[in-house]
Amino acid sequence: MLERPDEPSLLEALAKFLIADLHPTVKDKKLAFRVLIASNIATTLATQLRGQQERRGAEQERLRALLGRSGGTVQELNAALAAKLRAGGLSADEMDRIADCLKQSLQESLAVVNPSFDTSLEIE
Amino acid sequence: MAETQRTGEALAGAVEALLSERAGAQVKVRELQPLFGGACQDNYRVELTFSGGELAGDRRMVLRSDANQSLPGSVRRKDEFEVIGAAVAAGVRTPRARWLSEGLVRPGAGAYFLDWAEGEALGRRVVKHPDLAAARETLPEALAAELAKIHTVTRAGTPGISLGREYPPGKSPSAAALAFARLMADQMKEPHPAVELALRWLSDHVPAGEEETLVHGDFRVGNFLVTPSGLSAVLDWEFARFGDPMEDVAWLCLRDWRFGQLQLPAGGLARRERFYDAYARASGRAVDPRKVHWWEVMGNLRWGVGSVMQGERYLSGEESDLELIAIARRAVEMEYEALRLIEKGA
Repeated sequence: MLERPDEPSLLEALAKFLIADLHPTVKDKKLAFRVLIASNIATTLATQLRGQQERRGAEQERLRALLGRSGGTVQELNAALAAKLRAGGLSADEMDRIADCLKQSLQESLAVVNPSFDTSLEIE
Repeated sequence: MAETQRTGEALAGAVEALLSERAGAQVKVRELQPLFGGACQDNYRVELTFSGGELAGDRRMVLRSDANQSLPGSVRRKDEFEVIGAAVAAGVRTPRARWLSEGLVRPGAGAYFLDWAEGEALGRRVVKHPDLAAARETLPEALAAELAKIHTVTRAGTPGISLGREYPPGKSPSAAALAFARLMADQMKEPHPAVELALRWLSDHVPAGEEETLVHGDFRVGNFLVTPSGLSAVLDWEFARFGDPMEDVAWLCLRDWRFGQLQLPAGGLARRERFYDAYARASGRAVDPRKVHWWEVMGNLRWGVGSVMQGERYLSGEESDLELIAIARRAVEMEYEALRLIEKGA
Protein backbone atom coordinates (compact mmCIF):
# COMPACT_ATOMS: atom_id res chain seq x y z
CA MET A 1 0.00 0.00 0.00
CA LEU A 2 3.02 2.28 0.34
CA GLU A 3 4.45 1.79 -3.17
CA ARG A 4 3.46 5.12 -4.61
CA PRO A 5 5.06 7.56 -3.97
CA ASP A 6 8.14 5.35 -3.71
CA GLU A 7 11.00 5.96 -1.28
CA PRO A 8 13.37 7.81 -3.65
CA SER A 9 10.56 10.17 -4.68
CA LEU A 10 9.77 10.91 -1.03
CA LEU A 11 13.41 11.56 -0.26
CA GLU A 12 13.66 13.92 -3.23
CA ALA A 13 10.55 15.75 -2.04
CA LEU A 14 12.13 16.05 1.41
CA ALA A 15 15.39 17.35 -0.10
CA LYS A 16 13.49 19.88 -2.20
CA PHE A 17 11.48 21.11 0.77
CA LEU A 18 14.64 21.55 2.87
CA ILE A 19 16.58 23.44 0.23
CA ALA A 20 13.84 25.47 -1.51
CA ASP A 21 11.34 26.19 1.27
CA LEU A 22 13.14 25.92 4.59
CA HIS A 23 16.72 27.00 3.87
CA PRO A 24 15.95 30.59 2.74
CA THR A 25 14.07 31.28 5.99
CA VAL A 26 16.81 30.10 8.38
CA LYS A 27 18.80 33.08 9.66
CA ASP A 28 21.17 31.21 11.98
CA LYS A 29 24.26 30.36 9.87
CA LYS A 30 25.17 27.19 11.71
CA LEU A 31 21.61 25.89 11.47
CA ALA A 32 21.30 26.91 7.80
CA PHE A 33 24.42 24.87 7.05
CA ARG A 34 22.84 21.83 8.73
CA VAL A 35 19.72 22.29 6.59
CA LEU A 36 21.97 22.09 3.50
CA ILE A 37 23.58 18.95 4.88
CA ALA A 38 20.17 17.39 5.57
CA SER A 39 19.01 18.18 2.06
CA ASN A 40 22.18 16.67 0.61
CA ILE A 41 21.77 13.48 2.64
CA ALA A 42 18.20 13.08 1.36
CA THR A 43 19.29 13.65 -2.26
CA THR A 44 22.14 11.13 -2.10
CA LEU A 45 19.90 8.58 -0.36
CA ALA A 46 17.40 8.80 -3.22
CA THR A 47 20.21 8.06 -5.71
CA GLN A 48 21.53 5.30 -3.48
CA LEU A 49 18.14 3.56 -3.23
CA ARG A 50 17.49 3.76 -6.98
CA GLY A 51 20.61 1.78 -7.89
CA GLN A 52 21.09 -0.20 -4.70
CA GLN A 53 20.31 -3.72 -5.87
CA GLU A 54 22.31 -3.52 -9.09
CA ARG A 55 25.27 -1.91 -7.35
CA ARG A 56 25.35 -4.44 -4.55
CA GLY A 57 24.98 -7.34 -7.00
CA ALA A 58 27.84 -6.08 -9.15
CA GLU A 59 30.12 -5.56 -6.14
CA GLN A 60 29.31 -9.05 -4.89
CA GLU A 61 30.09 -10.58 -8.30
CA ARG A 62 33.40 -8.73 -8.57
CA LEU A 63 34.46 -9.75 -5.06
CA ARG A 64 33.49 -13.39 -5.61
CA ALA A 65 35.49 -13.51 -8.85
CA LEU A 66 38.48 -11.81 -7.21
CA LEU A 67 38.50 -14.14 -4.22
CA GLY A 68 37.51 -17.24 -6.21
CA ARG A 69 34.42 -17.90 -4.10
CA SER A 70 30.96 -19.02 -5.08
CA GLY A 71 29.11 -17.48 -2.11
CA GLY A 72 29.26 -14.85 0.62
CA THR A 73 27.61 -11.50 1.27
CA VAL A 74 29.30 -8.24 0.29
CA GLN A 75 30.16 -7.68 3.96
CA GLU A 76 31.72 -11.15 4.36
CA LEU A 77 33.65 -10.86 1.11
CA ASN A 78 35.00 -7.42 2.01
CA ALA A 79 36.08 -8.78 5.41
CA ALA A 80 37.89 -11.67 3.69
CA LEU A 81 39.61 -9.28 1.28
CA ALA A 82 40.64 -6.95 4.12
CA ALA A 83 42.14 -9.93 6.01
CA LYS A 84 44.02 -11.04 2.91
CA LEU A 85 45.53 -7.58 2.43
CA ARG A 86 46.44 -7.39 6.08
CA ALA A 87 48.22 -10.76 5.95
CA GLY A 88 50.40 -9.46 3.09
CA GLY A 89 52.67 -11.52 0.83
CA LEU A 90 50.65 -10.65 -2.29
CA SER A 91 52.32 -10.32 -5.67
CA ALA A 92 52.32 -6.98 -7.52
CA ASP A 93 49.87 -8.52 -9.98
CA GLU A 94 47.46 -9.53 -7.25
CA MET A 95 47.71 -6.10 -5.64
CA ASP A 96 46.85 -4.47 -8.98
CA ARG A 97 43.84 -6.73 -9.49
CA ILE A 98 42.60 -5.99 -5.97
CA ALA A 99 43.14 -2.25 -6.43
CA ASP A 100 41.16 -2.28 -9.70
CA CYS A 101 38.29 -4.12 -8.03
CA LEU A 102 38.22 -1.72 -5.08
CA LYS A 103 38.44 1.36 -7.29
CA GLN A 104 35.46 0.13 -9.28
CA SER A 105 33.34 -0.23 -6.12
CA LEU A 106 34.55 3.10 -4.74
CA GLN A 107 33.71 4.83 -8.04
CA GLU A 108 30.18 3.47 -7.84
CA SER A 109 29.87 4.79 -4.27
CA LEU A 110 31.28 8.15 -5.36
CA ALA A 111 28.65 8.38 -8.08
CA VAL A 112 26.13 8.31 -5.22
CA VAL A 113 27.68 10.56 -2.57
CA ASN A 114 29.60 12.99 -4.80
CA PRO A 115 28.84 12.64 -8.54
CA SER A 116 31.20 15.52 -9.42
CA PHE A 117 34.25 13.78 -7.85
CA ASP A 118 36.96 13.71 -10.53
CA THR A 119 38.70 10.31 -10.62
CA SER A 120 41.22 11.28 -13.34
CA LEU A 121 44.86 10.29 -12.90
CA GLU A 122 45.82 13.67 -14.38
CA ILE A 123 45.08 15.49 -11.11
CA GLU A 124 48.41 16.29 -9.48
CA MET B 1 28.87 16.77 32.38
CA ALA B 2 27.31 19.95 31.00
CA GLU B 3 25.91 20.91 34.40
CA THR B 4 29.43 21.17 35.83
CA GLN B 5 30.47 23.61 33.12
CA ARG B 6 30.63 27.30 34.12
CA THR B 7 28.68 29.58 31.80
CA GLY B 8 27.54 33.18 31.55
CA GLU B 9 28.08 35.34 34.61
CA ALA B 10 29.69 32.58 36.64
CA LEU B 11 32.34 32.09 33.94
CA ALA B 12 32.85 35.85 33.51
CA GLY B 13 33.36 36.16 37.29
CA ALA B 14 35.87 33.31 37.32
CA VAL B 15 37.77 34.88 34.40
CA GLU B 16 37.94 38.24 36.22
CA ALA B 17 39.23 36.60 39.40
CA LEU B 18 41.86 34.55 37.56
CA LEU B 19 43.16 37.34 35.34
CA SER B 20 43.20 39.94 38.09
CA GLU B 21 45.56 37.57 39.90
CA ARG B 22 47.68 36.59 36.89
CA ALA B 23 47.87 39.75 34.74
CA GLY B 24 49.06 42.20 37.38
CA ALA B 25 46.07 44.50 36.90
CA GLN B 26 42.35 44.67 37.67
CA VAL B 27 40.48 42.93 34.87
CA LYS B 28 36.83 43.40 33.88
CA VAL B 29 34.94 41.16 31.46
CA ARG B 30 32.79 43.34 29.22
CA GLU B 31 31.46 40.50 27.10
CA LEU B 32 31.86 36.73 26.83
CA GLN B 33 30.44 34.87 23.82
CA PRO B 34 30.75 31.19 22.88
CA LEU B 35 32.43 30.68 19.48
CA PHE B 36 32.01 27.71 17.17
CA GLY B 37 34.27 25.22 18.85
CA GLY B 38 36.06 22.20 17.62
CA ALA B 39 35.24 18.71 18.83
CA CYS B 40 37.92 18.81 21.51
CA GLN B 41 37.67 22.32 22.89
CA ASP B 42 35.27 25.05 23.92
CA ASN B 43 36.12 28.48 22.56
CA TYR B 44 34.86 31.88 23.70
CA ARG B 45 35.39 35.42 22.49
CA VAL B 46 36.14 37.56 25.52
CA GLU B 47 36.15 41.37 25.64
CA LEU B 48 38.40 42.44 28.50
CA THR B 49 39.42 45.72 30.11
CA PHE B 50 42.77 45.84 31.92
CA SER B 51 43.21 48.63 34.49
CA GLY B 52 46.98 48.81 33.93
CA GLY B 53 50.11 46.85 33.09
CA GLU B 54 51.41 46.02 29.61
CA LEU B 55 47.90 45.21 28.37
CA ALA B 56 46.22 48.34 29.80
CA GLY B 57 42.98 49.18 28.01
CA ASP B 58 40.42 47.17 26.06
CA ARG B 59 41.54 43.81 24.69
CA ARG B 60 39.77 41.13 22.69
CA MET B 61 40.93 37.57 23.33
CA VAL B 62 39.90 33.96 22.79
CA LEU B 63 39.44 31.67 25.77
CA ARG B 64 40.15 28.05 24.83
CA SER B 65 39.27 25.20 27.19
CA ASP B 66 39.34 21.40 26.99
CA ALA B 67 35.93 19.95 26.14
CA ASN B 68 34.58 16.71 27.57
CA GLN B 69 36.45 14.56 25.12
CA SER B 70 39.34 14.53 22.73
CA LEU B 71 39.89 13.06 19.28
CA PRO B 72 42.56 10.41 18.75
CA GLY B 73 45.89 12.13 18.16
CA SER B 74 44.72 15.50 19.46
CA VAL B 75 46.47 17.15 22.38
CA ARG B 76 45.02 18.76 25.48
CA ARG B 77 45.23 22.47 26.12
CA LYS B 78 48.31 22.21 28.38
CA ASP B 79 50.35 20.59 25.59
CA GLU B 80 48.93 23.03 23.07
CA PHE B 81 49.95 25.96 25.28
CA GLU B 82 53.54 24.69 25.38
CA VAL B 83 53.63 24.16 21.61
CA ILE B 84 52.30 27.66 20.94
CA GLY B 85 55.00 29.02 23.25
CA ALA B 86 57.68 27.21 21.23
CA ALA B 87 56.14 28.35 17.93
CA VAL B 88 55.98 32.00 19.06
CA ALA B 89 59.61 31.76 20.21
CA ALA B 90 60.52 30.43 16.74
CA GLY B 91 58.89 33.51 15.20
CA VAL B 92 55.80 31.77 13.81
CA ARG B 93 52.92 34.14 13.04
CA THR B 94 50.44 32.71 15.51
CA PRO B 95 48.55 34.41 18.34
CA ARG B 96 50.38 34.37 21.66
CA ALA B 97 48.91 32.10 24.37
CA ARG B 98 48.65 33.39 27.95
CA TRP B 99 47.67 32.31 31.45
CA LEU B 100 47.36 28.54 31.38
CA SER B 101 45.01 27.40 34.14
CA GLU B 102 42.97 24.41 35.21
CA GLY B 103 39.30 24.19 36.11
CA LEU B 104 38.29 27.60 34.75
CA VAL B 105 35.46 26.40 32.49
CA ARG B 106 34.93 22.88 33.84
CA PRO B 107 36.57 20.78 36.55
CA GLY B 108 39.94 19.39 35.48
CA ALA B 109 39.86 21.10 32.08
CA GLY B 110 42.93 23.03 31.00
CA ALA B 111 42.35 26.50 29.54
CA TYR B 112 44.32 29.51 28.28
CA PHE B 113 43.79 32.82 26.47
CA LEU B 114 44.86 33.70 22.94
CA ASP B 115 45.39 37.19 21.57
CA TRP B 116 42.72 37.93 18.98
CA ALA B 117 43.72 37.88 15.30
CA GLU B 118 41.59 39.17 12.42
CA GLY B 119 40.92 37.38 9.17
CA GLU B 120 38.92 34.86 7.19
CA ALA B 121 39.48 31.16 7.92
CA LEU B 122 36.77 29.42 5.86
CA GLY B 123 38.47 27.35 3.17
CA ARG B 124 36.09 28.08 0.31
CA ARG B 125 36.39 31.81 0.86
CA VAL B 126 40.16 31.74 1.26
CA VAL B 127 40.63 29.99 -2.12
CA LYS B 128 37.86 31.84 -3.98
CA HIS B 129 36.62 35.11 -2.50
CA PRO B 130 37.37 38.12 -4.77
CA ASP B 131 38.30 40.30 -1.76
CA LEU B 132 41.20 37.94 -1.02
CA ALA B 133 42.57 37.75 -4.59
CA ALA B 134 45.60 39.94 -3.82
CA ALA B 135 46.25 38.03 -0.60
CA ARG B 136 46.20 34.72 -2.49
CA GLU B 137 49.11 35.98 -4.62
CA THR B 138 51.31 36.16 -1.53
CA LEU B 139 49.98 33.18 0.43
CA PRO B 140 52.13 30.34 -1.00
CA GLU B 141 55.38 32.11 -0.05
CA ALA B 142 53.98 33.36 3.26
CA LEU B 143 52.82 29.86 4.23
CA ALA B 144 56.12 28.31 3.16
CA ALA B 145 57.96 30.80 5.39
CA GLU B 146 55.76 30.01 8.41
CA LEU B 147 56.08 26.27 7.85
CA ALA B 148 59.88 26.58 7.63
CA LYS B 149 59.87 28.38 11.01
CA ILE B 150 57.70 25.67 12.60
CA HIS B 151 60.16 23.07 11.35
CA THR B 152 63.08 24.77 13.10
CA VAL B 153 61.64 23.57 16.43
CA THR B 154 63.23 20.29 17.50
CA ARG B 155 62.64 17.96 20.41
CA ALA B 156 66.21 18.44 21.62
CA GLY B 157 65.87 22.23 21.44
CA THR B 158 62.63 22.39 23.45
CA PRO B 159 62.99 20.20 26.54
CA GLY B 160 59.95 21.97 28.05
CA ILE B 161 57.55 20.36 25.59
CA SER B 162 55.89 17.21 26.88
CA LEU B 163 54.32 16.31 23.49
CA GLY B 164 55.00 12.90 22.08
CA ARG B 165 52.11 10.58 22.70
CA GLU B 166 51.86 9.69 19.06
CA TYR B 167 55.50 9.89 18.14
CA PRO B 168 57.41 8.48 21.09
CA PRO B 169 61.18 8.98 20.82
CA GLY B 170 62.96 6.04 19.24
CA LYS B 171 60.27 5.34 16.68
CA SER B 172 60.67 6.85 13.22
CA PRO B 173 57.88 9.24 12.18
CA SER B 174 56.65 6.82 9.51
CA ALA B 175 56.68 3.81 11.87
CA ALA B 176 54.79 5.78 14.50
CA ALA B 177 52.29 7.07 11.93
CA LEU B 178 51.74 3.51 10.64
CA ALA B 179 51.16 2.21 14.16
CA PHE B 180 48.71 5.01 14.86
CA ALA B 181 46.84 4.48 11.57
CA ARG B 182 46.61 0.75 12.33
CA LEU B 183 45.16 1.53 15.75
CA MET B 184 42.56 3.84 14.25
CA ALA B 185 41.67 1.44 11.42
CA ASP B 186 41.08 -1.32 13.96
CA GLN B 187 38.39 0.79 15.60
CA MET B 188 36.22 0.81 12.47
CA LYS B 189 33.15 -1.37 12.78
CA GLU B 190 33.04 -2.47 9.14
CA PRO B 191 35.69 -4.00 6.87
CA HIS B 192 37.41 -1.37 4.67
CA PRO B 193 39.62 -3.27 2.21
CA ALA B 194 40.71 0.01 0.56
CA VAL B 195 42.09 1.15 3.92
CA GLU B 196 43.90 -2.17 4.28
CA LEU B 197 45.33 -1.85 0.80
CA ALA B 198 46.64 1.65 1.53
CA LEU B 199 48.13 0.48 4.84
CA ARG B 200 49.79 -2.44 3.09
CA TRP B 201 51.26 -0.17 0.41
CA LEU B 202 52.47 2.31 3.04
CA SER B 203 54.17 -0.45 5.06
CA ASP B 204 55.90 -1.71 1.91
CA HIS B 205 57.10 1.73 0.76
CA VAL B 206 58.43 3.47 3.87
CA PRO B 207 60.56 6.46 2.80
CA ALA B 208 64.27 6.43 3.59
CA GLY B 209 66.09 9.20 5.42
CA GLU B 210 63.45 10.62 7.72
CA GLU B 211 63.86 13.75 9.80
CA GLU B 212 62.18 14.76 13.01
CA THR B 213 60.99 18.27 13.82
CA LEU B 214 57.89 19.82 15.33
CA VAL B 215 55.03 19.39 12.86
CA HIS B 216 51.85 21.45 13.05
CA GLY B 217 49.77 18.38 12.21
CA ASP B 218 46.85 20.27 10.67
CA PHE B 219 48.65 22.79 8.43
CA ARG B 220 45.98 23.47 5.83
CA VAL B 221 43.64 26.07 4.41
CA GLY B 222 40.87 26.38 6.99
CA ASN B 223 43.39 26.84 9.79
CA PHE B 224 44.92 30.04 8.41
CA LEU B 225 43.52 33.52 9.03
CA VAL B 226 43.71 35.61 5.88
CA THR B 227 42.96 39.31 5.39
CA PRO B 228 42.97 41.25 2.10
CA SER B 229 46.59 42.16 2.81
CA GLY B 230 47.74 38.57 3.31
CA LEU B 231 48.35 35.88 5.91
CA SER B 232 47.34 37.07 9.36
CA ALA B 233 47.91 33.95 11.48
CA VAL B 234 48.41 30.19 11.60
CA LEU B 235 45.93 28.61 14.04
CA ASP B 236 44.89 25.31 15.64
CA TRP B 237 47.82 23.46 17.15
CA GLU B 238 45.79 20.60 18.60
CA PHE B 239 47.36 17.96 16.33
CA ALA B 240 50.94 19.20 16.79
CA ARG B 241 53.57 16.52 17.38
CA PHE B 242 57.12 15.61 16.46
CA GLY B 243 57.24 14.10 12.99
CA ASP B 244 58.73 14.40 9.53
CA PRO B 245 58.48 17.93 8.09
CA MET B 246 57.27 16.49 4.76
CA GLU B 247 54.12 15.39 6.55
CA ASP B 248 52.98 19.03 6.87
CA VAL B 249 53.84 19.72 3.22
CA ALA B 250 51.74 16.72 2.14
CA TRP B 251 48.80 17.61 4.40
CA LEU B 252 48.61 21.12 2.92
CA CYS B 253 48.30 19.48 -0.53
CA LEU B 254 45.63 16.94 0.46
CA ARG B 255 42.84 16.91 -2.10
CA ASP B 256 40.11 17.71 0.40
CA TRP B 257 41.96 20.84 1.57
CA ARG B 258 42.05 22.33 -1.93
CA PHE B 259 38.41 23.32 -1.56
CA GLY B 260 37.56 22.58 -5.16
CA GLN B 261 40.70 24.15 -6.69
CA LEU B 262 42.05 20.75 -7.75
CA GLN B 263 44.49 22.21 -10.28
CA LEU B 264 46.30 24.06 -7.47
CA PRO B 265 47.56 21.25 -5.22
CA ALA B 266 49.21 23.43 -2.58
CA GLY B 267 46.14 24.33 -0.57
CA GLY B 268 44.07 25.29 -3.63
CA LEU B 269 46.46 28.25 -3.92
CA ALA B 270 49.50 27.25 -5.99
CA ARG B 271 51.09 24.56 -8.12
CA ARG B 272 53.31 22.17 -6.21
CA GLU B 273 56.58 23.45 -7.70
CA ARG B 274 55.95 27.01 -6.57
CA PHE B 275 55.24 25.97 -2.98
CA TYR B 276 58.03 23.38 -2.84
CA ASP B 277 60.55 25.96 -4.12
CA ALA B 278 59.36 28.59 -1.66
CA TYR B 279 59.62 26.11 1.20
CA ALA B 280 63.09 24.99 0.11
CA ARG B 281 64.29 28.62 -0.04
CA ALA B 282 62.84 29.42 3.38
CA SER B 283 63.96 26.25 5.15
CA GLY B 284 67.12 25.25 3.35
CA ARG B 285 65.55 21.80 3.09
CA ALA B 286 64.75 20.37 -0.34
CA VAL B 287 61.28 18.89 -0.76
CA ASP B 288 61.42 15.21 -1.69
CA PRO B 289 58.34 14.51 -3.87
CA ARG B 290 58.49 10.78 -3.00
CA LYS B 291 58.25 11.54 0.69
CA VAL B 292 55.42 14.00 0.12
CA HIS B 293 53.64 11.34 -1.95
CA TRP B 294 53.98 8.78 0.86
CA TRP B 295 52.67 11.24 3.45
CA GLU B 296 49.84 12.28 1.14
CA VAL B 297 48.67 8.67 0.86
CA MET B 298 48.97 8.47 4.65
CA GLY B 299 47.07 11.74 5.04
CA ASN B 300 44.16 10.53 2.93
CA LEU B 301 44.10 7.26 4.83
CA ARG B 302 44.03 9.13 8.14
CA TRP B 303 41.35 11.59 7.07
CA GLY B 304 39.30 8.76 5.54
CA VAL B 305 39.42 6.69 8.72
CA GLY B 306 38.95 9.88 10.75
CA SER B 307 35.75 10.71 8.91
CA VAL B 308 34.40 7.20 9.55
CA MET B 309 35.14 7.76 13.24
CA GLN B 310 33.31 11.10 13.19
CA GLY B 311 30.21 9.18 12.14
CA GLU B 312 30.76 6.67 14.93
CA ARG B 313 30.69 9.49 17.45
CA TYR B 314 27.16 10.23 16.27
CA LEU B 315 26.10 6.58 16.04
CA SER B 316 27.34 5.86 19.56
CA GLY B 317 24.97 8.53 20.90
CA GLU B 318 27.87 10.54 22.29
CA GLU B 319 27.19 13.44 19.88
CA SER B 320 24.12 14.63 18.02
CA ASP B 321 25.52 16.94 15.33
CA LEU B 322 24.20 16.05 11.86
CA GLU B 323 27.51 17.18 10.32
CA LEU B 324 29.34 14.26 11.94
CA ILE B 325 27.21 11.55 10.39
CA ALA B 326 27.32 13.34 7.02
CA ILE B 327 31.14 13.46 7.10
CA ALA B 328 31.24 9.67 7.49
CA ARG B 329 29.57 9.36 4.06
CA ARG B 330 32.54 11.18 2.56
CA ALA B 331 35.12 8.57 3.64
CA VAL B 332 34.95 6.95 0.17
CA GLU B 333 36.42 10.16 -1.32
CA MET B 334 39.57 9.87 0.77
CA GLU B 335 39.79 6.09 0.25
CA TYR B 336 39.58 6.58 -3.51
CA GLU B 337 42.14 9.38 -3.44
CA ALA B 338 44.60 7.17 -1.52
CA LEU B 339 44.26 4.42 -4.17
CA ARG B 340 44.44 6.98 -7.00
CA LEU B 341 47.70 8.39 -5.58
CA ILE B 342 49.16 4.89 -5.21
CA GLU B 343 48.34 4.13 -8.84
CA LYS B 344 49.64 7.48 -10.04
CA GLY B 345 52.95 7.17 -8.19
CA ALA B 346 55.24 9.93 -6.90
